[in-house]
Amino acid sequence: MTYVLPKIRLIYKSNMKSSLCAIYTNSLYLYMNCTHSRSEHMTTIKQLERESKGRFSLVGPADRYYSRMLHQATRYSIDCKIYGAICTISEIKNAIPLIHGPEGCAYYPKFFPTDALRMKLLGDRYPPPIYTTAMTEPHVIYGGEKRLEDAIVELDRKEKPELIGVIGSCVPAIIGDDLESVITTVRDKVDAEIIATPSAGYDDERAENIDDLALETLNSWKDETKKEDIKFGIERCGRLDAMYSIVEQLTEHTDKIDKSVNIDTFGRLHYYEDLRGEIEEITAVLNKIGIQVNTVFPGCSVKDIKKMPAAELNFMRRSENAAKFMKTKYGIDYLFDPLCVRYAGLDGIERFYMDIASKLNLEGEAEYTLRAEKSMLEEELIKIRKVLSEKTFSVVLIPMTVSVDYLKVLEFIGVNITKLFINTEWLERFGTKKDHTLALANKLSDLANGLGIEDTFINLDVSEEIEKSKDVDLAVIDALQYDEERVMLYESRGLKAFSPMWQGGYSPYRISYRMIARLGGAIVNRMQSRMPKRELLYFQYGFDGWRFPSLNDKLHCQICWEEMLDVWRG
Amino acid sequence: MTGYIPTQGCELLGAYRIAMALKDCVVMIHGPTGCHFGPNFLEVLTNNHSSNGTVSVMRDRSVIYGGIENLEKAIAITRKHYKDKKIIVLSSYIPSIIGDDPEFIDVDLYVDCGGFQPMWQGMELFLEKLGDFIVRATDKKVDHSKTNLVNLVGFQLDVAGGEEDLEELKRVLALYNIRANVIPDTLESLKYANYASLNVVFGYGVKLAKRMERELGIPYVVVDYPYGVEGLKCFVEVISRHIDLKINHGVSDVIIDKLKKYRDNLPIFYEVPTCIVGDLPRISGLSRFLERELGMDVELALATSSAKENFDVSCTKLVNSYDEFYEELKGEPEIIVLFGTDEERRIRSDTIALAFPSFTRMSFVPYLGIGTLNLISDIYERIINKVWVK
Repeated sequence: MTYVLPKIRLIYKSNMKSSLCAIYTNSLYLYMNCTHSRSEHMTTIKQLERESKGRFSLVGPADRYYSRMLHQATRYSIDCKIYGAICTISEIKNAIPLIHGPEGCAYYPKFFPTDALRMKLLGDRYPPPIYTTAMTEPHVIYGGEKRLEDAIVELDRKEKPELIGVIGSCVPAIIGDDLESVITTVRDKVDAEIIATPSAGYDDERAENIDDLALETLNSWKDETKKEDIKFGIERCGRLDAMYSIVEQLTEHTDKIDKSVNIDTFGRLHYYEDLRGEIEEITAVLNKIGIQVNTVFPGCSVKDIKKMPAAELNFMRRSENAAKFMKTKYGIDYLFDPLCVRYAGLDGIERFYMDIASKLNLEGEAEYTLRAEKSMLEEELIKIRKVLSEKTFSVVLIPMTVSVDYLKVLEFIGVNITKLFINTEWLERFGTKKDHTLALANKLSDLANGLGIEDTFINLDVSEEIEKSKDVDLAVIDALQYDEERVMLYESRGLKAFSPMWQGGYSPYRISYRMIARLGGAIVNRMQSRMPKRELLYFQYGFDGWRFPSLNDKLHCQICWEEMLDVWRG
Repeated sequence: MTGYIPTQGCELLGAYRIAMALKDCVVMIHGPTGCHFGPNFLEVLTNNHSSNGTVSVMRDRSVIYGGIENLEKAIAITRKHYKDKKIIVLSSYIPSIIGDDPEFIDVDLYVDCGGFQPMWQGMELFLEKLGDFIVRATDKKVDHSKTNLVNLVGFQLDVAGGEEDLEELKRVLALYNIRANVIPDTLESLKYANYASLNVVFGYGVKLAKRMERELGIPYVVVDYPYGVEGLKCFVEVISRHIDLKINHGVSDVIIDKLKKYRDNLPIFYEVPTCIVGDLPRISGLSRFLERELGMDVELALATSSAKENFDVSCTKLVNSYDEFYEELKGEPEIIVLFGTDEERRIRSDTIALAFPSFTRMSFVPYLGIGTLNLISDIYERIINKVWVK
């Protein structure tokens, strides 16, 4: 057997801000996170897709490693507000978090994976340095405000950041340190902008409304008009509190820019998604309609945040409070869509652009532009549909807000779904009540039947799922987490499988025509690629078929944690 | 300095690290979720066997009304799922500040770790608490000079290769007919600690050793990590001062003999500038090995954790904070080999991660004892990478 060394070519463009790293081997492209201009991003991906002859992945080693770290860590624990706040601060260019609290609170986040938005939008592989005021007993007794003031001045002098994000931990919250008064006092002594955000770990609203999501999603499936009701209720978490603090404390009155919009993006942990590609596409399509994107937030600079009030409209996907604040203070109207409720799928994408256009009186231009975009997409799908026409597919799904639109997208591409496996384990793991998840699964099953998918199965063990999929040509796996393990288990049992997120760079939560075309191409490529024989070591360890891929010998740790979450919720 | 990049974790983390090594226990942190997320994150990434840490998930209502109710609920759930395990509770800052009273909590050990001390003091604190179990279990007088048992105290198992290093040390001691009892290993095994002739303290556990000397008459020695051939010889010699054993250097001879195959490569190591980062007992033993036995130059060392006893670090410059470290590193552009933690791997991806935390490295081999050959081989790889790669 001859071993052929992979041919490696580094595509490098010197005019880019830093490095564009596309490593080309004879079988695979790895497109790494980079900091080139947005307009070049999609062009580069298209070029890679063309040249890679089907072996293309947007997901680099860092994405996979970080994602895996988080999967492991969150099986038995959940972070606190500090982590979310650090991520938000780190998504702003040249910003540094300063944790006001004991040294220990700032120690662990150093080892936490770099925020995905920081990697993909700011092009930074590493997290920012995380500073601490290292409070000790005397500060608990006499107050830590002076210490914070000195630390801000010192940090400003040493690191020269554009923004210092002061994150208050549990201790100053309990003893009553007034962070806002400190930053008001110290503002004149430093060059950096400063914001303060309260992040006491015990004061966390994420615990409260997890079950509501299932109910609201169910209601919206029963009645389309109820879509507006889905809010998911996370406002008081570290991430959104920090977002709100940034908007509240940094934005300032400025001249309005006609026909302009701010785009709020998300994806702190979404390593497998093309966060940059989505923003680039939205910007390009809006430009064609005649709309200017003023600020993409976060993943921007302090200057960009300051000029947010110049926009006529805000499109917010996370913090409605921030949108409300800007509406009250600057008169900026807003669209709010958490979890892609209104804007999922083909119809959703169109609705997104039309909603923005109608707010800015550009409906005609939008209709014209979208017609062109859709016809381009149809053209790209012609060859793909031809290949897929005689094939059958199974799909594994977690019932979520986007599920129905997702199935419609697959059918639009030409994926003939003959079997649908609905799995609610993920929802239950995070605390959704069993009767609610079952109601959701049953409704999704009805809706799938309405789309022509006759065989639907609810909550099968993974081995049964594979057994029932034996007669399809490709199994499409979208289980939100652990897709790699599922795909590999299918393949080790002789059935070709494919993860749209991992292997196709597709997420149903992203507003993008381009990603739909890419998904189609990736499915075709997967079908045409060889399937190596696999007897994977990972599966030598006994796993649980329902809580897949949890290993049997540590299942008790996971179940214990799931019950502990009930205590957390109170 | 009022604001800085933290060099080490808190007292709670120190206690948690030692407590997690007790195989018959499950460790519950009494505090908000974040106080558990960090330690658990490091734990499960370092060792995938299972997660033996839980948390009482305090919320705002606990801060107002006290956290005992949450703690009791969390203990009940933990008992249900971790059958046959003893429960250790470590309280974080919040219960300490609000004054939670754990008096009536039904657990095997409750340790208040809400002080604002550094990580190494948490290690000392928890090991000292284990003294209660050792002294309590002692019901008869033992002639310590007659046993050939030593307690290995405070050896860090939660680093890459830690378990393998410990096994290797036990193997070496067994060659001298010395049995080793490890503290911490299990709560159950603490009752045998009284039978030891000597406590060998790997930097942490000095307070425990002093107490055992005072109350049980067991002498102690504080040692650093015995890297290298000479390090191992010194380690055995120190023990031989307290236990009657016949010194022979068979283990060292094996290392020297195996190294013969590559002995002409050894001059490549001479005066190669290196930098080491880690807890004081580790970098003390490591720096001595690198300079004395391999002829390398340790230009810069950072002690991430201090220790109760003084340790000598053989190096040009020793610093105690990351701020100083980064500053000094700027002036040391020629560092060829970097030893340290996961943090240093962000500076140099080929850092040899051997100190806590080191979850970015998979290891199944020791660096101590016969593992000296593995360490030499890994260092050689780093040097060659600098010259051989285009």
